[in-house]
Amino acid sequence: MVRRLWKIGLMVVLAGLLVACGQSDDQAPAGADGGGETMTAGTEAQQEAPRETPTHFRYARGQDLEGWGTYNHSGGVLYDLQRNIIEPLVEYNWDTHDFDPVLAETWDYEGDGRTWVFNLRRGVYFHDGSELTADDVIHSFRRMRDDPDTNQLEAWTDVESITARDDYTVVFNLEVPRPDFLRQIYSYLVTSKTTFDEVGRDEANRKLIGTGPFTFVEWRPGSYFIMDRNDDYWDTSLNSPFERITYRPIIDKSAAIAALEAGEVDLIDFIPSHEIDRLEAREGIEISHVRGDRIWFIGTNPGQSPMDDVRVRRAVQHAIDVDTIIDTVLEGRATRVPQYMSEGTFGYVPDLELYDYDPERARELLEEAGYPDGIHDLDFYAVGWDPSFLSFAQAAQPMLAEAGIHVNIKTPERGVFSDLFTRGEMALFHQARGQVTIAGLRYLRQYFETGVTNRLLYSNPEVDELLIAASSTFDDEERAQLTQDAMRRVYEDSPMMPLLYMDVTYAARDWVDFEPTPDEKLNAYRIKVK
Amino acid sequence: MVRYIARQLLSTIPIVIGITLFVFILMYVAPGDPAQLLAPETATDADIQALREQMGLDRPMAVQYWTFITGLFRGDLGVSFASGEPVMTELLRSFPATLELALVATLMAAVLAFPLGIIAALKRNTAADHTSMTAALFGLSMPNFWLGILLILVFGAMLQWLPISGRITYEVGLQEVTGLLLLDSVLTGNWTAFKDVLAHLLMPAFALAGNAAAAWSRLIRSSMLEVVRSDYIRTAQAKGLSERVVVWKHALRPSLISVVTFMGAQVRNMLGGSIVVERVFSFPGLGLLLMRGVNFRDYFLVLGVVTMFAIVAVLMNLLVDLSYVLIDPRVKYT
Repeated sequence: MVRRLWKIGLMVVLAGLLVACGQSDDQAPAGADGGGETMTAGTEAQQEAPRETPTHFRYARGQDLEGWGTYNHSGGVLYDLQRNIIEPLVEYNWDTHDFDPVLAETWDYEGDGRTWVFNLRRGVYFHDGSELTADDVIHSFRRMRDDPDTNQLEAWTDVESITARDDYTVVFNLEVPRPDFLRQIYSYLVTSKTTFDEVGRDEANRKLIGTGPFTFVEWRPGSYFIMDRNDDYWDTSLNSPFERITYRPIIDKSAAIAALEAGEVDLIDFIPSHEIDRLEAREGIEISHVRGDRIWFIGTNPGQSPMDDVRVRRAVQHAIDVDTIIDTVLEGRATRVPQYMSEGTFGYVPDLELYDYDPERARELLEEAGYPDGIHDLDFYAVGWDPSFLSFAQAAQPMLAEAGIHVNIKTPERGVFSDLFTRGEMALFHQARGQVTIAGLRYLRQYFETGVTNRLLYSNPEVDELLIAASSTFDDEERAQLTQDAMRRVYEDSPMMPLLYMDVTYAARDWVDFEPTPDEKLNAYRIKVK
Repeated sequence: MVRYIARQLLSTIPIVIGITLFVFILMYVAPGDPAQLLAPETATDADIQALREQMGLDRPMAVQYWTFITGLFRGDLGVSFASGEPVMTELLRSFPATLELALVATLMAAVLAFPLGIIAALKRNTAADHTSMTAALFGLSMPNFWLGILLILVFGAMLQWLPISGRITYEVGLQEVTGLLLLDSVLTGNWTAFKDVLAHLLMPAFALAGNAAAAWSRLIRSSMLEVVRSDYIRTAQAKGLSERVVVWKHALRPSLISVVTFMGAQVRNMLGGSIVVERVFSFPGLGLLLMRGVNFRDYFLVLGVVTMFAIVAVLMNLLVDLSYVLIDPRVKYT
């Protein structure tokens, strides 16, 4: 009887395994071995180099869409998914650092810069068959303001009204002159008014009708998001080789890497530094890097003691050897950024005298500030999505100690940290801010203009004046000059220590032709086959 | 009996209200502002305040709770801040996934635990007993997320036998009926889908089942050992009854009361433990939903998930109580 029990138990387990393994033979997703077929032979086909051009591209990132609403998302990783299907007016070009036409063909401002006019491309059709007109643009922007679950109210900052001059001309009437208006609206997506009028908001959200190179097929939360190529796409030069793109959310990074190695997906993102070398050595997998646009910085909050003394803030700048941390802890996968905006941008100050690594000078400054025995028991908060964040803080801790600043590293839960951050309650903290190049003045004003946010409790009326003036100056040179003047003063006041831009690393099968951009966006529709 | 069931069901109401009030207060006083957590990086303080007003977060706590509790009785659990979807919709989408996972894990755990426990009891102090109990010790000691990652590495990456994440592959074309995909594939006669869904379930279910199987096998062993020493068992053996009849008919059933009680508690634990396993396998169930809710301080979503867990726990207790009637004819409810 005992033996029979064992046999029954074993049989059940084996049956389960056999059934499951049977499926992986029948059901290999149509990937490297050619598109369209769902019955392919064996798992080996998933690993070998394709004999034909792959027609199905599968990729994975760490997040899923939360819901259907196009105007409910606040950008980030999730924006990418919808961007394949729904398009914006213009898009940022990382090579020229200017904006490229998408649904808007040309644009300009009129008068004193309170009127921005966009001329739409003609002959562009939504997936529902209706033609793109100014009405669709106005409708889309109105949804960003009026949808009950909207998370894109920011599109309307300083916007008084949006009107149509004719069927293909959209006019944004602003409350103040905004030379950087494009930087505000460049990423917002235009959906079809026709479909909305026909089926209402909820249904329209579920249909995901856009003008993009791919059409929406199906979303099963947690499992897959499927898009098929739109063969009637208006930009005939694009030519995606893929008939289908499948996105899978895989939260756990080890699982994502396993999925890539098993051939379940063709591309994954944000590879942790300790896995890069191993993956690079694997046959059939290639790593690509790009310098990111997320600036890491240390906040030395002038509103909180002991950072209310500028000498203490400057001491922090002298205390940390960022280059060494980059070379060792971060394995060289970051770029030092000693100023608030990087070289090549309008906010970069060419001849700025930087605080160099000098622990002796840090000690002197502390003594001048009234801390001859250094500072003790200071909380240093380091919370971020990237595990390297904490590694950086841990590496900085002994350096700060050597300079006389003894800190306790604190890693509260994200919600708790967010509260402290918004209220400016931390004297010393490590943070990051993404998309700083595109945001430009908006990022600088967010941190350095009095009262815009409480994150740094920093206030300098001269800086306020300069930043506000820069924001309404249409002359590029004058704007650059004003911004640089502001940055000089901010740097002297040192409310924040800029550190670096982290590299963004992707791993993909070697036939994937993918050029990453610093903004962490993954435009699947642009991916080609080598 | 019917009165007993009705009384138990009615008692869920004050329990659920108590739990939701407790969780609501906790979430409310915990640091972290949902508007700030949801807002884009470029948001200014003014933007965040506007978002806060739009989300109704500026209303007093009592008003917000009252809105929730009155909505609960209408079946309206509010709207998730993060997704804009009704919480009820999100729950109905995620609950079948976790339920299916828990059921398959329970079945797996039972299939592993019963033979192990019974053999260990019958072959007490032999090699079989020691091996089984050592295996159980391993099972109890292994954290389920660790087991999950190990399974992914071995069966997913190295052997490539099983898929690593999600519930189902698009290409199998399953038509959903109940949301329990295994059941739906049987109902629609889609054998390919059945195999695909099962393949997606095996690893997460095993990760979840590991601890439970280990605990159950030990309990089955000790329960049976106690029963096997009873006089009536010795009488049965003396009467010349076969080993099979003695074990199945006379020894196992009385041992089941404590085992079933424990199993009920373990299945409730699985619902909770699913949070970690779901994250490792990106399995779209209630656990992941709860995590998202907590991370974004999505009050209504968290309350919805907690309410669901509470109701399921109470129903689980009721089922366990009712099962005693089946197991032990001496048990009666009034």
